[in-house]
Amino acid sequence: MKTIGLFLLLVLTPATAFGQAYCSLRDPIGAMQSSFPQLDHYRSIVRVVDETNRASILETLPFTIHENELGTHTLYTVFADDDELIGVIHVRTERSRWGLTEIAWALNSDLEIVGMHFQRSRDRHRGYIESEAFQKEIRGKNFDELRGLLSNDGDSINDAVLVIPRDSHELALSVIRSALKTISATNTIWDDSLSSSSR
Amino acid sequence: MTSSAFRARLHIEYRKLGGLVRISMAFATALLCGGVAAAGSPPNTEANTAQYQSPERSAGGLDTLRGKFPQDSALNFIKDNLRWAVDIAGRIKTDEDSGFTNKQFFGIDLLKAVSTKKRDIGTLLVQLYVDRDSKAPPFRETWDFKVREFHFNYYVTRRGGVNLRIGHIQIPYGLNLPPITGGTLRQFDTGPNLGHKVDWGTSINGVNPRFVYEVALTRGSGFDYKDKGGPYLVSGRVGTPSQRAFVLGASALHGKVLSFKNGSIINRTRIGIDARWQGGPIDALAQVSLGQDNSTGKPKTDIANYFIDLSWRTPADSLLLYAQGRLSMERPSASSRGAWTKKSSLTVGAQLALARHYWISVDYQHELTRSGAPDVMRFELRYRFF
Repeated sequence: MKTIGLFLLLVLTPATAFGQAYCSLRDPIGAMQSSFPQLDHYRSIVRVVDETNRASILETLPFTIHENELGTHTLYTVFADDDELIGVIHVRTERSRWGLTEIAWALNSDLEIVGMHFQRSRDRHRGYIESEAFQKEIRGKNFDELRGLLSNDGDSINDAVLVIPRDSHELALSVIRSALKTISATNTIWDDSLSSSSR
Repeated sequence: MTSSAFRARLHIEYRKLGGLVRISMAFATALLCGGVAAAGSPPNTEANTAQYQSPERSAGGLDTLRGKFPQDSALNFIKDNLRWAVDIAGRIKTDEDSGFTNKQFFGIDLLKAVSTKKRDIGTLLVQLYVDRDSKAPPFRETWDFKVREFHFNYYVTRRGGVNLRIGHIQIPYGLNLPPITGGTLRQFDTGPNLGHKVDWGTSINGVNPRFVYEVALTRGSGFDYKDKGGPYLVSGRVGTPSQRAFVLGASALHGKVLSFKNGSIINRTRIGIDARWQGGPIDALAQVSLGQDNSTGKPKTDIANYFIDLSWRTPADSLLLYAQGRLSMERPSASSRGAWTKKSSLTVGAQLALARHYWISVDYQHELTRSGAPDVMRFELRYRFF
């Protein structure tokens, strides 16, 4: 009886959102080592992404972000042996056909793409996304340049500037949208930390 | 927005969060204080172990650990990069011929990236909880306090290649690493091979582009630190990087393990291979373990354990469905060509995210061999406040 009471108490407590929260705590050590060969040390900075931040991020994006993407997230700032900030790693979790996908994004200190690494992906087209053919299309690009790879409404690939095999369209779109969210969130939430780290 | 305006806005948001955080911490403290009185009871390996942050490890239940302390305090050294969660769960277990029992869990998780101003130097994980068992076995009290995990992983090298973990740690063997079953009904092949899922001790671990590894020396007594009979356990796993679609690992363990049921010592040796495929609609995890058990007063026994887990999930991982098969075989070592005694079972289960903070899980286990064991069904409702 007590157990049933506990169940009822928990169930009747108001809940504001459905679905699991999207937040990865897997340290992207492999992504750091691969993306930044000159890595000497790193420091994590944990910040809360709240509704106010979400509104700021949404202003920059042509699509929405799920409220489960709010919460506490970690930015890994990566340094060379002379303590120079050489980039950051930001892990994003995205919905995909067969479960959540985790992408570790490597950005330089100007928030341009250095590379990306799947930490978890069940998509059979991940091989194309990891191939040089796709990686060269996003490497070195900033927010505006990545934005140009999508249609105006952000719901499809801009075929005029980026040719993607038909069956890889869905994953490529998800990855580019993830990159845009990552850069926007990093700029919105951690901008002050990056400024001080660069000094 | 200017940088100063941005910082001012951030400060206000932190202050808003502060009130909520203090209330929840008071709640968590009350739960913990209530459980301390029951501390010291024998361990129970059925209590699932949550997992921890570590290089290249998924954090499972901790994926939702998102709480954060306010920043406007003199204790920033402690609160900086600190996350926390309160974890409450209730379980009902029904046997087909003996009614039902229930258990409740009340726990708190703390996870902190410990950093100097310049770099991260390690990770501290603290997971404490009390549980209540309506039908506690003889080796434990109705109320029990447990240290689920409590360890510091010190980064010996700056790039993550060599780390030193010390405390109450996950035993590095097979599918126990990376740990993804913490606090859930879904469990892998830990019990028949390790005896304990966590243990007091230390390990060397690390990540490099080609492989991950962890080698541990632990007490061999599981939840509680006990040295009667001189238990110890040496264990280790080497595997390919966990971000790949196909992951392969090799494990081994050897030592004297303390049985939590009767306090006897079991000389135990295992070698194992684990494999995971996470590249399509169905995840497949498998483990094979071979070895030997030698308990006081019993003949030496050859052991062969086989385990497979198939799972499917929705796009946001809101619903997880899985099926597990287990086959355990043993025979007296003296009769090397003797017949194996076999025991096998099939488990099907589901885990559904009801809302942001709630999960409901159910599983059903059916014995395939004729051992007389009844079918078992379990329900769990879990709530994580963060």
